[in-house]
Amino acid sequence: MTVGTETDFLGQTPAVAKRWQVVAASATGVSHSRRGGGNEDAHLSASLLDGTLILAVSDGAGSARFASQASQLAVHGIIEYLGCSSLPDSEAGWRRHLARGLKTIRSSFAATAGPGYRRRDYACTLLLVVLRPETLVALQIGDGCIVAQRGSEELIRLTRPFHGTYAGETTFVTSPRAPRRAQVTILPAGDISGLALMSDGLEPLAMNLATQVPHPPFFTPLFHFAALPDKSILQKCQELGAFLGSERINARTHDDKTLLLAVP
Amino acid sequence: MSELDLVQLAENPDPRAPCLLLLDTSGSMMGKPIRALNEGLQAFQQDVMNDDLAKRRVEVAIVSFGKGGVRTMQDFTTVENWTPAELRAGGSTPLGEALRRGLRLLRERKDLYKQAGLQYYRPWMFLITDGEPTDDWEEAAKQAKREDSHRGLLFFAVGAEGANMDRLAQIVPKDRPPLKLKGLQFAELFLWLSQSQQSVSHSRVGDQLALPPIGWADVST
Repeated sequence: MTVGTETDFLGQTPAVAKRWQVVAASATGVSHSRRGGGNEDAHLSASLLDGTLILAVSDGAGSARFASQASQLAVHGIIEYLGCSSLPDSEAGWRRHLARGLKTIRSSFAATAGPGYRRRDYACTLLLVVLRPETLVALQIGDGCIVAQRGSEELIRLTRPFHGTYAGETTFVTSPRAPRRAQVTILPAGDISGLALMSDGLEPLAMNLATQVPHPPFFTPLFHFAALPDKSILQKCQELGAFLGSERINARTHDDKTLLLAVP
Repeated sequence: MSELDLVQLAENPDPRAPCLLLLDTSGSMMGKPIRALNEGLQAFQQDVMNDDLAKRRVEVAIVSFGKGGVRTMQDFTTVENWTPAELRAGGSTPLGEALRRGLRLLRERKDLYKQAGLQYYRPWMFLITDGEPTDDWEEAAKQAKREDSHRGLLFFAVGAEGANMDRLAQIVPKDRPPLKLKGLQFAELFLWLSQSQQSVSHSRVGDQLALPPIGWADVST
């Protein structure tokens, strides 16, 4: 289990970061533990000096040889990239920006691997939220899902994962088609009251897969929990990690599970 | 008690991994071979049952060709609901008709998945024979290869002792040549199939699924 707390990017605590709390955890799937493997998911969040909050989750593909390095490089790489560039406003602008961000991520894969670099060894997904005072941007490559809570309890799925004809087929950041297949959603940020990013291991437990609608009895208690005032963020991250590694979750999914919650 | 105990999990049906077995039960399988084949099916069922996810996801159907002509011995059912019926040997080898029956069963199953909104993995069609077709097989083989090339299914063939391997090579896709079973290692073959189906039913693939190593076939073919 790994727990994550918010990382202050560039060392300061700006206004938005004070308002938003990030509670995140990740638990290794039982099929990975059984094979002696580790957790291949990664998550990271950061607040920029101008008040932008960035949330990222990545899921290394089971078929990728360096899946856990890939997901770590992906979340660090994209946050570093976004932190050092001016952010676009339009969907087309974000698509171009994302394409450049993915290029830097792939360069970091190649640099880490050295001469024997093979794309498929670093296949991973990427889920990303960029929250500014005015707008919310959700970007996704591959499976998993991003859900927002609006107002007191309305839940909206922000991205629709690419699913091929068959179960288990998806797109990874290493695919040349990734920027085109990326899901990009831009919304006004004003009434957003909660954000959840999760790797695909949790999808069948959090969503109605036939209708693609978020399952309210899953999300509502989680957002409530993340916003509890009398617990520290570290404590909440630990509790969330225990929840993700619990028997009742492992009975339903053998995959790695990562959940990142953000609440004002 | 933690607030997280209040979180309720959504219920979704498991995605299905269909696996269709086309099994030769012609006269030449009589005696030891048919016994080994039946034991292999038992081993397959027991091994998948050890995987609590795969037993709900892997769906088996069996079409036999030989004794009694072409028979749907088992229509698609999840492994946890499957009791392998004993196969008996006798008669000729109507492989072509078995292929047509198999393709039809697969088509019907896929339609059912779509109607029910179930996700499913690419179906496997697994042919085992110890002879060569005694009926028209060309059209059916062409159809099977066409569906395979359009990613509609994955077609594998295994030749047991006595199989016409050259003919079998004409039946399956060129890029997936038939494998020659070592002796009567049906149990090993079906354990491999079980492990493969367990991988499939847990898989998420952007490119290729790594299958377990094949120990039950002669490498010379």
